[in-house]
Amino acid sequence: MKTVTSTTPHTARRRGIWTRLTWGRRADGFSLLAMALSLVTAALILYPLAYVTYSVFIGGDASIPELVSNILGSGIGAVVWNTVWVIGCSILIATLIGSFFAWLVERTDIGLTGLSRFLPMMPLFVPPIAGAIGWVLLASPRSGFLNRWAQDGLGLAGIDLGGPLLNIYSGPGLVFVFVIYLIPNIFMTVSSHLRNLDPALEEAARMSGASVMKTLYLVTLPSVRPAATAGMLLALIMGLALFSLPVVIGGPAQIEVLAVRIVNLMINSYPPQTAVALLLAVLVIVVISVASWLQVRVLRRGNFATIAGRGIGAARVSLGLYRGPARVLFIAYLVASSLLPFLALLIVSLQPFWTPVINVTNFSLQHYESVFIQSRYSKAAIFNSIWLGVVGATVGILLSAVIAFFTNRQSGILVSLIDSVTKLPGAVSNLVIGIAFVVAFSGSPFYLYGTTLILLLAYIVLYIPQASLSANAALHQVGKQLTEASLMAGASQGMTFLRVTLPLMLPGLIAGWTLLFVLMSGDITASAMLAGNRNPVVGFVVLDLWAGGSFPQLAALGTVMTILSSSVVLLTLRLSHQRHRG
Amino acid sequence: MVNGYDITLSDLRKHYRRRDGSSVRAIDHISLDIRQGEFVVLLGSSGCGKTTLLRCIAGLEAPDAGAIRIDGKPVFDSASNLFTPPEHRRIGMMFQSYALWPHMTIRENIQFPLKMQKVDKASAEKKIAHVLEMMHIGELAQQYPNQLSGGQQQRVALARAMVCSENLLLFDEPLSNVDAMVREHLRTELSFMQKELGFTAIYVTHDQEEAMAMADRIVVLGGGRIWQHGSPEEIYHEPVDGRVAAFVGSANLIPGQLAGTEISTALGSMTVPAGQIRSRGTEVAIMSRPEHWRLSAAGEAGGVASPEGALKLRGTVRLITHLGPHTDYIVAVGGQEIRVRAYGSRRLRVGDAVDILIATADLLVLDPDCSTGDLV
Repeated sequence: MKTVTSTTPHTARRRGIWTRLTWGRRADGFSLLAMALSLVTAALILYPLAYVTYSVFIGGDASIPELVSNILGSGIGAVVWNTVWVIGCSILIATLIGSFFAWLVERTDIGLTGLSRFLPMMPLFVPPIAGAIGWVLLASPRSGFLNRWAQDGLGLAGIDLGGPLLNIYSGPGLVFVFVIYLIPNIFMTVSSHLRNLDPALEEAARMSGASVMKTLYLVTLPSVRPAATAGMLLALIMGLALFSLPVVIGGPAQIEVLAVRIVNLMINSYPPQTAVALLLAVLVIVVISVASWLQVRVLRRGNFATIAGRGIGAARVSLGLYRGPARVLFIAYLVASSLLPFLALLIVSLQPFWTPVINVTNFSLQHYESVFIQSRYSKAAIFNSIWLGVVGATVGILLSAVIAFFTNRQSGILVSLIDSVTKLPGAVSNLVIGIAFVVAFSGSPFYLYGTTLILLLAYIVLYIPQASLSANAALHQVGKQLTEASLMAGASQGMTFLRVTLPLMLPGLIAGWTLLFVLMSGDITASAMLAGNRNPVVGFVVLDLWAGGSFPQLAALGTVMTILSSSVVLLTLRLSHQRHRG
Repeated sequence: MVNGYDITLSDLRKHYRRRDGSSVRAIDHISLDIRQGEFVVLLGSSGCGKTTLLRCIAGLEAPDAGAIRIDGKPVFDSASNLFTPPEHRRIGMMFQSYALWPHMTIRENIQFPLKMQKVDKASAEKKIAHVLEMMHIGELAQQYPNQLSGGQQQRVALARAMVCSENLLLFDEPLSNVDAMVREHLRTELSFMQKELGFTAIYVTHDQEEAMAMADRIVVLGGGRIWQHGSPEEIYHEPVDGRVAAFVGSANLIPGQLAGTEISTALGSMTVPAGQIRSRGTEVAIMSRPEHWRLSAAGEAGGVASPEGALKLRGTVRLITHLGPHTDYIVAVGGQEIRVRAYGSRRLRVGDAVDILIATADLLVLDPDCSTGDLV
């Protein structure tokens, strides 16, 4: 065998500024490719943001003081106030319920392990827009199913409500749907933290004489505080960016929030008031930044236990008599978040027109026919959404996998820059990304307006933070020594990635792909700004139908969206479960 | 039998930056020559730099400065900006976590290095068959790593490392995850194999017993520097300072001030033969090993006499630890606690007054810490 000596040119390179900047060691073919991909991704994220900032605030003719007075004159105070109380209340309630659920699942004998696995994925089963429409069908004051059933039921008992029991078109209604969609964020962060928290900490408290409640209050709660604040921050980012819920429910309720105002400035005014929209979006960024800063402060203040126990033999708290009610509460959430809205969508989609009186003999598939067969426009939209989802998710997750592998093995300024840039879209909110893409890519020199390419690029940029989260999580599942062992065995970086790292990351990447597919194929916010008659997608058609008030067709589309994303998610779950057993 | 590689480390340096911005010297001017076929153990407590040093030899980390030559060929040289990546160094390595790839069978795991090194099929097959037989893991070949016990995984990891290289194997605390029985068994087996096959081995551990058992030469590391290197006997019987003495085996260290051959301590003045004085400073520690002390009940007839050239102290038994063949007594003398190891039974109880005695030739006068001695 040939002995490789270090003097052969491909094994030894001079440690110039280039390698020092990126590596602290040498560059091989694969790493150069990874680096190029990282830089292209970073450029795709940074260019539109930089371009829009420059063209609107610096190169444009807008003057900031004029803009500000313009905004102040447009009743922005009420919009900000709505945003603050709707999202504030939603986050508080979601944090309480989500943390409580996490504690129930991780630390008590509530059981339901099968169901609790689904909870974090709930928004993937029923996309927010479908869920919102579902709840409109359930609880709108005039023809909501729940209202009608309550009236009939109570009427039998001789009680006359005199009005609707529930009104989804109200402040509490809006908060309710927000809470439903924010709970999984909190649940996920808190429960994963609880799972990693050494149960011995709590057992030590019990041995020291603290009761169950005292332990919960004095030991468990303080130690999950960082996770809860992280979850709250996630919920805040998501809440501020969620456009689908407030546009469906806040519209008729006349509760306008910032996200809706910003999108409307872009799509419902001619010419689009880009400068005003962008300035408001910057306000959102400032709020998110302040919140992140506060979170860091909270985390820094105390010494939090982060010992990763293996979670074995954690003695569970016996709920006793409360076990039944706790289970009912948990299941009620799952039903309210997925089953009920889905059933409402399904029933209305089969009815000739939306009515709270269910008459099975009238059921027909006519709306499915009109949406999916007769209308070429919505047919194209479904087709576009599916292929955009498939291609976007595949590109996004593979890109993130390569970047994660690259950034985890190297250190240096460039690497940490790339790392923060891929997180950027999460912090600047998808409203800004949408605006930036409209401004940067619509006209010269790209002329991408009305193409599916602009949507593809926007989706990839929008959801790259989620993709890189999944890819990084998947990579951390692969022990560092497994990669190092491969290098020691003589495999190059590229070979190591292909033969060792990628196969081992696969389960995590598949999960990430599913998440991306569901988010991209059901995207509303960017689609509202970037899609049109020439490049329709499902999200755009839904908004269109909503504006036209055609509920049965809307329900048909929502049903299909729900079935599509649920089946993709279930399929992945099944696949990963099998892998796990094998 | 093949020739093991020789390795030369010259003036290696590497520092890390902590989160708070301060810098840690993980490797602080280390130079070392490792001979062909030598079994070298890098010994030190956690954070002493032993693993970093091993990873620099492997190529998994790059030092800041210095040079590394393996088998006469430079693989790292800061002066000429040379760095050979791990995949071109041809070194076998056994990891602490074994690092068996879970998606490959045992056979595929062992085959992988040969595939990567583009060994032709026939000789690869021969090599695999040989190593499977040698490690007694032939019947496991078609299984996956998660179906194996810890001890079996270890054998596979060793087999894979040996397939990687016949000349140089690195071991990163590979025996720290199995129980004592399996560990001792594998330790013996590894020693035999190394002597038989003749590869050079560099072995990192924090377990001094393991180091004593396996090493041709022990390199005691601390704070990124070599405190001492030498054969296990040298390290044990001739430690260069109090730190090494305390780290390797158990040692009694009595602090004192040296004047001539007189040392004044809290237990009174002691005279030590000039040949036993190794310190350079005047602040010294008198080192003794527990097994060199003798012990008897205080004033017992026929007890320990106090001959010439011996040191006799009276104290109280504070703690008795039965360790099977021998028993350790912690004896309080003045403000000092001295560990005394005795064989056979003594019928002593905690609180009993005892006489303890040691030949002054068994005492060593050391600098507590010779690195500070350097500075003076």
